This record gives sequence, structure tokens and C-alpha cells, in this order.
Amino acid sequence: MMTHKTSGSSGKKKVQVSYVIREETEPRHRSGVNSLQYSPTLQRLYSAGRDGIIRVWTPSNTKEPLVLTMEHHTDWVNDIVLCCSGRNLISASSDTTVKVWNAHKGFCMSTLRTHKDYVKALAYAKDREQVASAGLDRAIFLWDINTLTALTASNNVVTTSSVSGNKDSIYSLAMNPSGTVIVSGSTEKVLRVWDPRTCSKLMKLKGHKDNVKALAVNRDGTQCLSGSSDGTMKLWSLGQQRCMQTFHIHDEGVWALLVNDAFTHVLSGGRDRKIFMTDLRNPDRRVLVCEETEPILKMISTPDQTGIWVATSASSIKQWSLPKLPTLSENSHPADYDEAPKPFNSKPDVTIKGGAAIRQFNILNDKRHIVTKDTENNVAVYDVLKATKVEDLGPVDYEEEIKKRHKMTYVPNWFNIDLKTGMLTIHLGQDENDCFSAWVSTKEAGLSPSEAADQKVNYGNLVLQALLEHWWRPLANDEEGDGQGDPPNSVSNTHTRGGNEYFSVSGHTPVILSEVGGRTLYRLLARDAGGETEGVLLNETVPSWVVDIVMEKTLPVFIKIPFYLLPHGSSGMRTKKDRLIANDFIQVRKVAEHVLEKVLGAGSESGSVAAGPANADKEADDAQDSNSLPEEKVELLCNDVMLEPNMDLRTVRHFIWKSSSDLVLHYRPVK
Amino acid sequence: MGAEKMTIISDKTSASETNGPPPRKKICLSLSGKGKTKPSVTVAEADSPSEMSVTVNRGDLNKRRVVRVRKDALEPGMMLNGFVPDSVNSIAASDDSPGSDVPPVATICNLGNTCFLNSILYTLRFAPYFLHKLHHLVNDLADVAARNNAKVKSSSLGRSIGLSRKYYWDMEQMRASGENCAKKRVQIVTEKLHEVYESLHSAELKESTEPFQPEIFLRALREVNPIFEGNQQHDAHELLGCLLNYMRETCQELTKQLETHPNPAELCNGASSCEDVKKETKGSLLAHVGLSSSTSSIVSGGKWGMRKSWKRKKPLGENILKTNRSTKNGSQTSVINNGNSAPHSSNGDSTSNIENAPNEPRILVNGEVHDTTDVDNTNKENGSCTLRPLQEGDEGETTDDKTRLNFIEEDFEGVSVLCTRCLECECVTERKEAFYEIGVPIASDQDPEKREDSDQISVLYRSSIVTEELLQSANKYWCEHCLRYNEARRSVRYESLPPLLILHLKRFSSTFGSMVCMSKVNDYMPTPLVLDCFCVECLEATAQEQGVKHRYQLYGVIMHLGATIASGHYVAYVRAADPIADYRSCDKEKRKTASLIATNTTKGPSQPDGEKARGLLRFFSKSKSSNSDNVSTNHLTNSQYRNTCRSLDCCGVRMSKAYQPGDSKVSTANGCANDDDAEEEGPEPSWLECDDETVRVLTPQQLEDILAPKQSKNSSLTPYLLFYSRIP
Repeated sequence: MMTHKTSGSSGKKKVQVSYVIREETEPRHRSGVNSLQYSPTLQRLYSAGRDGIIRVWTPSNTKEPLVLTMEHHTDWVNDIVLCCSGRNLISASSDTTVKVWNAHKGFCMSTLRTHKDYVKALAYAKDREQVASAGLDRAIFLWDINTLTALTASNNVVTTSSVSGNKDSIYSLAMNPSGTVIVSGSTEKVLRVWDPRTCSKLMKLKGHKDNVKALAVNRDGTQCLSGSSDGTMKLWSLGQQRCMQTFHIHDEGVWALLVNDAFTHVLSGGRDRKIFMTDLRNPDRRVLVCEETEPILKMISTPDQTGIWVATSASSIKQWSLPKLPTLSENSHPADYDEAPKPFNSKPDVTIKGGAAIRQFNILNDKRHIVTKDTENNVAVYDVLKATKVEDLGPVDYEEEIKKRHKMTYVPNWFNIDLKTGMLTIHLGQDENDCFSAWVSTKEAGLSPSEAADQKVNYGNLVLQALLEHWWRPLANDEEGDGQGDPPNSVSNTHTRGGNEYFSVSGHTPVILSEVGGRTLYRLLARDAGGETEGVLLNETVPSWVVDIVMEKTLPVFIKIPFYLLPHGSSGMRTKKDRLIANDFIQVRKVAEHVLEKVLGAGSESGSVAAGPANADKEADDAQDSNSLPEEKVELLCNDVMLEPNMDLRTVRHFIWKSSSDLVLHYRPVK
Repeated sequence: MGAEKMTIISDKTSASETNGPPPRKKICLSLSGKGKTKPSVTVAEADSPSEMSVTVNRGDLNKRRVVRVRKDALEPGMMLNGFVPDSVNSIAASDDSPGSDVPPVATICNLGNTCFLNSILYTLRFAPYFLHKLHHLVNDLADVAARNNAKVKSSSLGRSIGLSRKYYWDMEQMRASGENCAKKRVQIVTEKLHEVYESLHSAELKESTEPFQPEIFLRALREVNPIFEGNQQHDAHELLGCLLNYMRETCQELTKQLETHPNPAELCNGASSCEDVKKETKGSLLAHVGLSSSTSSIVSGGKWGMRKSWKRKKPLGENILKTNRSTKNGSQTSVINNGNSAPHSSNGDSTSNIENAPNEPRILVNGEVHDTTDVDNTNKENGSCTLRPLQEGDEGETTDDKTRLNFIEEDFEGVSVLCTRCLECECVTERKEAFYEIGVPIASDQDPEKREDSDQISVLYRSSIVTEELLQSANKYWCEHCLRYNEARRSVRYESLPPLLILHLKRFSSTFGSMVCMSKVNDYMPTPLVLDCFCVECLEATAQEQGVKHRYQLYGVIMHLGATIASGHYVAYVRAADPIADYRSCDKEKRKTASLIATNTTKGPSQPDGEKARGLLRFFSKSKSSNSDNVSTNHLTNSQYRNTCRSLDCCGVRMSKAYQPGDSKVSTANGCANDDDAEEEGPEPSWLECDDETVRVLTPQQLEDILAPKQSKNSSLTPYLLFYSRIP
């Protein structure tokens, strides 16, 4: 797999590491389907999912329609086109890339990174094997497919011509098969037309009142049909540069168009969920083909032209049959068709069932488990740390399950969650949510192999090590900065192995390196990180703060909590205000220990504690045991609430102190 | 020199008809220069405006500055512009007398960089209905306080005290007395504001020439908001926002107290009883008891100050309505229906009453009923009238379910809708917010051609205020439906605009990233005397080529002079309409003199119909009664006096006698105004330039000159806050 214009890690933007918690195989779309293509030669249906996966189906096989999945995008796949007689597939995604795929085997051949924002639309000129891509960055790029497919590791430079002049984000694009015109629709509300052979501007067509989301051009490039969010369709004469007719058929935005080859009949669908078939020469002659359950995103016709495949923002793909063109007469709908016309179809002929998308999540207090609810109201529990689903609860009460799992414990946030693909994507970064902020005890986290050993571990640290467990890299060469050669000795290999001693994540877990809030740099599966090319790309993209953790095994810093320790009023002792600093995961028990040993035990030492705050946590960290339990001798209070000995300081601060000012603890001896 | 000037002036007087731009300009500038220089005691940068203008007018103005002394003599002469000869005579007469420089209204002293405060005090004083409502708010507060602790009337009532500021109770004293412990500080600010106006009134009564020193008020203000401590210049706009908030809170406090003391018939109308519109009298109140009965007051929805009932205000700010486009309309209409149903059910009989009894109404002695009758008559809308105002009705009232007992909210608060539409799923999210003023970005690249055309100016304002933007690239919108960042189109619309609309020209822009460095935009922005309304309803009407439903008339401008927000000078320009209109038909007053109510009610129908019919409209028809009865504020006939709230004599504006004949003449000349546009075309009430200790009368022409574009960009006397009141 090649990257076009390797962007590397040179960019200024911060890089974050993300991973997706999912099954090894995801046989169903987890969210809406943005685009469809059909290959008559292989009788395969290609569907572009909002879950970032392109799936290939044989619709004739109703039991096991899925042939393969094409997984490399990290965000919605917005559009796909099949080219080279079905050998190759081009895909455009909101991860800002355009990818070239081998459509038969389903592997990604190259990634084009010229766009700077979501790529929303593709157009294909069959006769010239040319594809155009356009998106929210207002740019249109023209690609020669034969060049794209011939890219190799050594020959990875593509020249592209770009069409410029767009003033706003492009949402739709169309080319005629001979590639003589290209039309773009944008939030500018005008259509812009170019000649892709010369990249010269031909015209600008005004008339729509809102975004133009669907376009179709006839074979010879003389007519164009547009569908807009203003709810209308317009038929334009490119020769006369004017709108010939406006169709008010839909109640809401028109998002998808399918015109027959003769450009006489159009199928249109959109936000109102209805698909109409309209005679362009006489718009009164139209029929409601079907009513979908969700807004319509894409329609393609079946090879025999008797039906259509329809993709919506729901995950299922349905096939509906079409009325025969001659039957599309005016009497096919009565005069009073305003009164809810009866759709031609009541049920789809075929349904390729989709899966459920996760719509809601709740991070539990342990900052490790997540309760989710999906579009089918199923509730599930996930373990973010191990990147796996823990439990399927079925259609139970979501809020109830959250309540049930509520624990009186506080752990800092260390990750962000993203549901845009309908699956859980976890982002680890160093921004407001520092992924190294959560230190926990292995015992409490249930990670320690034996009861006895209790260690403090950092969640973010563990996950990163597990995700990049198979990654190795030649340390020495990297220091010199230029070597890409093989590591000279195997010793360093073993030394640079990642992983942690507690757990591994599933090898199928996708790991994504991306700019924060921006473009994807690299995506790979956790198990593939050991590969040679993968290693090279990882070296380029993995940010240094991750390298430190995974390679150098540097420990993240502890999070400190400053607090005051005062004798409780009822104890009648002199009040001396000691300001201490301790790790946020220190348990109240340890503080009690400290009080017992330093403050009460040897009164003379109390001064030194105040002077050297760092002592506090060291002391507390050490010496697990003393003969009698400290909590039996000293009790600690915060805001006059007795503290549980195994509560940690951050939990005390969060649930009992409830203030951003320095925590104040009171102690009193137990009598 | 003096002779030269006089010639210019006489030039000017004749030129007011014939147009002579260059001389007019000179006069205006010389005057503004004068305004600055006279109170040189306080204003350090007093000379700067004339220096600015020098660039425009070169040597001529310099001369003028030299002969500054003479300008005093000049001032009354100025007054003749636009005034009929007899007013000149009267001015001339007073001119000769020792106290010749009695200002048209009482003046306020600059306490050291307090022109920001003075400009606001002057402006609020001339805000339609403001003084009257403030008076009743303060009065009711005092009444409630008196009842609550069965104590003597609190000093804050202020009726018995404060002929001059020297007698004012000291803040410290008041607090020490413990009487005000329970009072919120904001309430004290409100009370002190009222006292300021009382003092101004008494100063006018005495024809005092001594400027009033608002130090007690300033101290009360500083108690609440320490930001106003120290002697720096402050942002008048910020002060205005604070003041309105304090008064709103005070109103809320009053409402709260009234709720805890169930004696609604006595005080329920408290804060808002003051308009011409008669509130429900006891009888109707009893009939429609209950917090949710919006009763017939809704009938007059859309009319000035009529939207009130006993409904509690719903918190509005964070109210996020999530609708997709298809359901949006539905939800809106349903709310309106709610509003509709109330008057329908509760007012069934009053409706019929209206239909058949325009000539002998008041069977129900329900204020709204006979109001409606009058509206009915004048609007020639007959029985359907009860419904019509509702339908065109104030969206603000119906949709946000906000019928208020709070005159600040009622008069100053509008509702804006922030509407965001995801371009992916096209779902619409709406967020409604209440606002007091609208920030208007300065459109620096306007077509100069368009400045002349008032329609174009309205379009200019509309396009700067009602905006739409695309959230894109790095600024994408988190769509809760798509669960991701998408492009979105965000628009700001105004669901309802308040009767008193404040526009804040965004002249001060903080440069990003740097320290608090506010640079001023001096670009010219036209100040329309009449502005088309741009609420949703009006825009829809415009889109259908019907023209706007309401418009706004300028009643005040606060100009800022200087280069930064922290320095410079504020001058207020106010439209001095006859204040009596604000006080007529005060229900509050009526309840106090029950016997008079009877006379009034029976007498009512014979009175000029416009009088009670519509609040604001009547206000702008420039006191029809003074037209018909040919009297002015001081010479009320008995019947009028009974009709007029006595609070006019407590804190109302009382134009100096010298200026009244002119005023009343103006209103007489204009008396025939009715509810069409004609009234705006007639001669205006005079405008006052209120510059701390100096107040002078401007002719419309002078005002126009002041608001006209300055030829030089250096001229930094620029309109900053614009005050509009709604005309139907």
C-alpha cells in the first residue's frame, strides 16, 4: 500500500492514537450507507458505509450475502465508484482521503491525500477512465485511473489536475461518460460547470435556494439534473445555460438522483424518505416507488433495470422493484394524489440487513467500563482498557444499568469517545483529556495476577503498550535520524518490543494515528504492527510521547494532589496546618498511616513532614504493613464525613470535598 | 465675529426649508464644539471634538472657538431654528431675565468621567413609558415593604424627600438603619435611579440652573458592581446592560414578594400597571384568577405593553428546542394555539361585548374590553379584532410563553433564535435567547449611494443584524444526530423585538490575542430615524412583498467621541416628546382614587378615541389630547388630570416653560396624526442634546447634521447606542 505525498509526522498538529472496539469481522453495516455500486460482471454489490467499511455483497445469495469487507477508511465512506470494468474501486471518505482498491480482492492499493477536508463526492468518466473527487475543501481533483492503479512503492507520485473556482464546500459532483463536462454542486447554491479536458470554466448556473446535494449529467453532456436541499429538482440545459424546468416533488431536500440513460425518467429521493419516479418531459407523470424508513442517500439500478438498490441513513440496503416505464402514465396516480399516494411497492424485494449503531454511551466512574445503547435499544458493556466488549445485556433499561454500575470512586478522564462510525472509537491524546492521567492499583483494577502484588499502573500507558505490542524499531538507527535499514542486531529487537505484562488487546483492533480533530495519518491492525512496511510508517507517524511510553518504557508522571492535614476540632489538639502533596491514588489508609507515624507517633517529626512534602507520598507508598491497621487507630474526616480507609484522595476530593480549592483532611485518634 | 455668526444663523433659519448643506454643517460643528467647551471644569478632553471638526471646517471654526464666550448668547438664537416665532419670543424674554440660561430640562453634573452615566440617565429619562413604570415599580416596592414589616414607608419611596440632593439619605446611613437589610442592592440602585429622576423633576420645577449631581446613584451602582469604581471612563453600553438587569431583578423581586403576599388585587398590577392600557380591574381579576389565565390581556397582543398576565416567566435562555424542519412549524403553532385558547375561553363574552357594543362598552369594566373596543373602532376591524392581534400577535409572548409582570422584560427584552442546520442530516437545532440589545457590526463597505435611501438603510441594518453563517473547516458543528462534526448553516433571527429596541453599534473591537486593547471603528454607519422592523414576522411579510408590520422610531442616540473605549466622551441625544402621553390612563392611579374611576369609565367613550387605543401609537401621535384640548403638561384640564397618573409630578420630565410653547405648538401642528405613516412625516418633537451640564434644543436639521457622515475619518463623534421605540 502506498501513500501519495507522504505527509509524515512533520505537521505541526498534535497526533493522537485511536482504536476501535469491534468484532474481528463486522458482517453488517453498523450505520448508514452513503453510496452503492453494482458490478454486473461479478454480480456484486458494493456499499460504502458510515462505519468506514466498504462491503461487497452477492445479493443473489440471500443467506450469506457478504463476500468481503474493505476496511481501511477511518471515517464515513461518502462515495464510491467502480471503474476499469469493475476491477478497481475508488472511494472517498470523511477521513479526507481517496483510496484506490482492488475491487476483486478488496485490498487497498493506494491512498490519495490531496484533500484537506471531508471528501464528499466522486464522479466517473467511463470512456476516459477518469475519476474526479471533490469535498468540503472546495477543491476538485481529476485522477487518471490507469496511473493510479499503476502506482508502486517506487513510483508513487501522481500528477493530478485540479479544477478550481469553487467558492464553497462541494457536496455533489457529476461527469458524463465521455468526460467532456464536470458539474459540481455546493453550498454556494449554484452549479459550476467545467471542461475537465482543459480544466476551463464553462458556466455557473444559478437558481437553487439551498445546497445542491445530487447531480446527474446526460451522456453527451448537454443536460444536467440537480437535486437540492431546497426540496426541488431542476433540469438544466448546459447548451443554453439555463434552467429548463423545476420539479417540486419532494417535501424536503432531494439528496439522491438516478436518471435513465435516455435522460427521460428520473428517480429521486431525499430527506422525506420517499422515492419518486418522474417523467422529465411531463412531471405530472410520476409514481411513488416506495417509502423508506430513513432519508435516502443513494440509488442504483439493478442490471436488468427493473429494480433499484436503495441506501439510506439506516444500515440496511433494500431492493425495490420499479414500475415499467409505459405504466408511468398520468393515471398511474389519481388527480388527488396529494392525499398520500399509495406507493408502488409496499415491501422491498430483497433486504440486506444491517446491524445496529451505537448511539449513546456512558463512561462509568471507574473510567474503564462503558455502557452503550444502540439503535436497536440493545445495551452493552465495554472494557476500554482491554478494547473489548464485556457483556451484551440486550434490550434492557439503559439508565438502570448505568445506575446499577455506579461506584463511589473517582478516576480522572483519560480518553475521548467517538461514535461517528456507529462503533466505539477511543481517542488517546494529550489535550484536556490527558491519556496518562489515570493511575490505578492493579489490585483494584483486577489486573494483578496474585492477591499479594499490588502495583500502580497507568491506564493510558497500558493501552498504548498493548496496542503497539508488536511494533519494534531499530533504536540506534532512529537516533541517527536517517537509517531505514534493517536493525543490525536482534538484541535491540527484543528490547524494543512493546506490550505490557498484564494483558494484550485483540490483534484485529484497528489502531489509528491522526491529527487531533483532523486528518488520518495511518491506520493499521494491532497485530500487523510487526510488519516491515508497517514499521516504517509507524516510525513516521507515531508521536514521540507514545514512543517514550511504548519503546522507552518511560513511566508517565504521577498526578499529585495537595492537601492540608489538620487535627479534628473534637480531638482537642493544637492546630497546625500541614500542607502535603501526595499522589492522587493514595488511599486514606495511607494518610492515616502517615498521621500515626509522623504526626502522632513521633510528635517531633511533624515539622519535617510539612517541610518536605514529597516525603508524604513516599512514606505512604512504602511499607505496606504495620502490625496493627492504621485505620483502627486514626480516623480521617473531610467536610466532617468519615472517610473509608480504602478510598483514594481523588475520590475524596471529587465526592466529598467537591471543591477546586486545596483538599482539607482532619484526623483524630480513635479512642 | 458675532455678527458673522448671526448671519449664518439667520441663513440657517431660512435654509431649513431651502437646504444649504455647508452652512448647516458649520453650525452644527460649532455647536458641538460649544457643548464641549463650556463645561470645561470637568471634561478634560473637552476640546477634542472641535479639534476634530477643525479638519472639516478649517479656519472658520477656529474663529468660533476663540469667541466661545459669545456662544452663550448664541444659544437661544439657535433655538429659533425650527421653532415658530412666538417660541422665539418667549425664549428671548427669558433670555433677558437673570436666570436666562434655564436649560430645557434639568441637567446632570459630570462627576469626573461620568458622562457614560449621564448619557444613559438622560436617555432613559426620555424612553417612552420608562419613568412612569419605574415610578410605579419603586412605589409598589415601597408599599410591599411597608406592608411586610408594618413599618413606616421606606425612605426609598422618596416621595416625601429629596427636593434636592442635599436631603438625600446617605447610603451608609440607610444601611446602618437596618431598614434596607432585606433589600437587595440592585433594588437600591433602582430606587436611587428613581430618586435621580425625582430630583431632576424638582430641579425643573424650580427652574434651577444648577446641574444635578448623581453621586448617590453612582454610589449605589458601585455597591452593586465594583467595576464602576474609580474615576475612569466606562462603557455606556455596559452600564445600560447592568442597569436594565438590576431593574429586571428588582421587578422579579417585587413579583416574588407579591406572590408571597396574597393580596393581588391591591398590588398585582404593580410594576406594569402604568400603561394606558387598563389592566384587569378587580372584577375581571377575580373572574380569571389563577396564575395561568392570561385572560384578555392577550387580546391586545402585539400592542405596546399589553402582553402581560399572571403567568410566571419560564426560563427561556437555555431553552433548546430541537426540531427538524418539518416539525418546527407545528410546535410553533401549537404554542400559539395555547395562547389563543385562553382568551377564547375566558373572553367569550367580552368578545361578543365588543361586537355589539362599541358605543356603550364597559359593561365588564374590563380594561381590555374597552381597549379592544377602541382598537376596534380605529382599526375598522370589527368583531374579528379580538383574534386578529393575536394571530399577528407577538410571537415573543406566545412562543416563549412569557407573559410578564416585569416592565423591563416587557419593554426592553426581545427573543432571538439561533438556528443551526446540519448540512448532512439537515436537522435543525434552535436555541432561543432573550436579549436587551442587539450588536450591530459596522458595515464599513457600504455603498454611499445607499445612505440616502431609508429603505436601503433598513436593508443595511437588517443584513448586519439578521445573519447567516456557515460553520465549516476547522469550525464545524457537532451534530447530535449524526454524532459527528459536520458543516452547518447557522442563522440568527429575531422572533420578537421589544417595544424599546436598543442597537449597539460595535465600534469597539478587541484585537485578538493581545491585551485589552479596544480599537474603535470610526466608519460611518447611517442612523435611520425610522427603521423597518426585522423580526421574523416582518421579514416574512417583506418576503411576500407586503411590507413590514411594524417599524421603529429613533428616540435617542448616545454618541461616543474619542479613540478608545476607556477614554472619550459620551453625549446623549434624545427626542423630547410630550411626556404626558406616558402617564395617561394609569390604572394604578385609578385604583387609588376609586371614585374617579367611575367618572372616568362613564366618561371614557366620549374622549378622543386614539387616546386609550394603543400604547405606543398614541405616544407617537404626540398627545392627541393636548391637541384637542390644547393644553400642555402644566395646564391640564380636570378631566385630563384625573386621567393622568400623578407620578408625572413626582419624577416626570418637565420641560422648562420657556420651551413648552414651542413643544405644544409642534404637537398641535401634528395633532391630526393617525395610525398610518403620516405621523412620522409631520414635524417632530424637538430633540435635545444632553451633554452633561449642557442641554440644548436641536432642530431636526441640526440633528440630521450631527448624524450625517463626517467627511473626515478622524472625526470620532460617532453614534454608539441607538434607541428605538416601536410604531405599529
